[in-house]
Amino acid sequence: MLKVENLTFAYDQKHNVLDNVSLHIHEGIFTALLGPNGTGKSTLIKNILQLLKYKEGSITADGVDVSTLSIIEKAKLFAYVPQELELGNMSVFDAILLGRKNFATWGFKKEDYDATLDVIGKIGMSDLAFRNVRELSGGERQKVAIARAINQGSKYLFLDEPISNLDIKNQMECLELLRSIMKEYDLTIMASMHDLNMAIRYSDHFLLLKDNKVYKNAVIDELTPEDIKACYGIESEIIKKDGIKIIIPKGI
Amino acid sequence: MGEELQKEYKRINNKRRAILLSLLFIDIALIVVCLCVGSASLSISETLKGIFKIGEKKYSLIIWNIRMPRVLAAVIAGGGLAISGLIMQSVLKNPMASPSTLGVSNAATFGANFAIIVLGMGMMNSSSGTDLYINNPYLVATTALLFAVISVALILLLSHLKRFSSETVVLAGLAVGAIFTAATTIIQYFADSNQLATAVYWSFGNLSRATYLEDLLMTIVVCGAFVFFMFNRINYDAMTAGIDAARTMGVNTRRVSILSLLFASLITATCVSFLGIIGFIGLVAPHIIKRFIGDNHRFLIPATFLTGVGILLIADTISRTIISGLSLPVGAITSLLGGPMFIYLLIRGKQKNA
Repeated sequence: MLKVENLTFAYDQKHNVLDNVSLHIHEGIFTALLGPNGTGKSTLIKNILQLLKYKEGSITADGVDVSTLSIIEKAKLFAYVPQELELGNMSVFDAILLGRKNFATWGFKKEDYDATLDVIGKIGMSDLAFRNVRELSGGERQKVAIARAINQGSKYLFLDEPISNLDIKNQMECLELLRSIMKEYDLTIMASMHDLNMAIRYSDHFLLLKDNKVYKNAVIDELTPEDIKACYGIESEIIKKDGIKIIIPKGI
Repeated sequence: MGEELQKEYKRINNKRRAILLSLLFIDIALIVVCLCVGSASLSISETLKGIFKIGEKKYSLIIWNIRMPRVLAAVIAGGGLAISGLIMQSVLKNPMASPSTLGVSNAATFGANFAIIVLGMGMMNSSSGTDLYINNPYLVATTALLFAVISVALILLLSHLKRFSSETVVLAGLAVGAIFTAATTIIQYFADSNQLATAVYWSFGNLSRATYLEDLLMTIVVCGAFVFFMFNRINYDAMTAGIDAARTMGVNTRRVSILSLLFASLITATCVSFLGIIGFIGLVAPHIIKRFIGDNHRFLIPATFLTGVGILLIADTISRTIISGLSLPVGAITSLLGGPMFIYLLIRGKQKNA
């Protein structure tokens, strides 16, 4: 279990972007990280990944203080798909192979190449394996970044707004892929999202941030119109049609 | 499917190896051409005889005493400056980064001017007119090196305060370069005409200044840096995915960046100190070869090295043949080739962002 306790972070001295945040992430589930713009979703992810230095608080994974781990140990625990995807000028294969960096000493070995081929097969990109990533569509690039992250063999996968720049089909494909790899690789996933309908459809839990604090951390079925009103400031109704829950925004 | 992909991967790597081999052959051919060209023009067979010390002694004397130190300097400095620029670009994730744009060259120039003018280390040999005479070339080189290292330290410190964004580093480099250029102008203003001529002449990149000892010193620095860069090749690949992503992949981005910039600057500082300013190779060579190899540093680093060697050998040959009987400063030729390339990159970069 990943535990964040009393986490406080600020980019400058005055304003805390994360204010005494505590949360638990249970293993093997998909948590949607929700909240309006500027509530600290990306900042929370970067703090957990130790990319930013928090002022106070602690982050522990199975009782181990994450900040004491080496960079390689962290890479074996956490993988990350950033919001702004940069994949360089290389083939899909080479880009995904880089996920094995934390296993490489002098260079990549046979098992690294094998693992990469395996991941490429699992995400269904064998046909594109030697295409330059620059020639790919947004959805395909997102898949490459996810595959690279899986290839790290980490326990936790954090994604910063993975579907924000995708069309609706690619959004669904991306989330379906995440759900299937979660089972396949025994992953725990946390992804920040703006689309509440996608969140209630594909995630198990949600973590709702408001004003740089945790507003609610619960199973996704417990997301209510009151929560949405409190955090996003809109009236809404949650209905169920053909077994699919839908959030209908009603007014500001 | 797995086997087919493996075969395809091997085929691609073989293609890259073929590029490396072709570059190597081109460089060797250029070395031979470079050894032929000079005030006493030798034929290819005379040159080859000279290289292997067969036949007339005068050929091997010309080759080994006069031309070889210079050609070796072109090989080491050309390759060294090219990988120095490549690594600066990779680490800073900025295609405009290079020894000339980060202010390292300017700082080395200031150091040399300081030694020549303020410490009185140089004078022109008035009888022959154009011969540069420096009392203590090693002191000049050491001072140049010292200031180059100071400039790197300054840039790293400034960028560290701003959390290492690549724009900051390049802007800091520009600012530091401007300060050193201004300081150079000021000390040149107070120099007498003899010192001034020496200082200006020093700053013209000139390969004929190299002796075997200087070649050896440059080789040690360039080889050390090359090994370090190759050791970090996967880290550089990972850093093309962004600093945060690379860090979560297990790259100690801060340490890799700082050490890589230090090594890259050390190459520049050493080459500039011994040979004067040879601009734009660090910018142009990586950009040419990246078109063929992409961001795969396992091949990109050696290929950039070989490309840099080729460019400097060509520039050196042009500089010695374009006006007969005269040898133009090779630094001017590389900048003449590199300037338009830089403008092209600026235009192309703009289009990509639009």
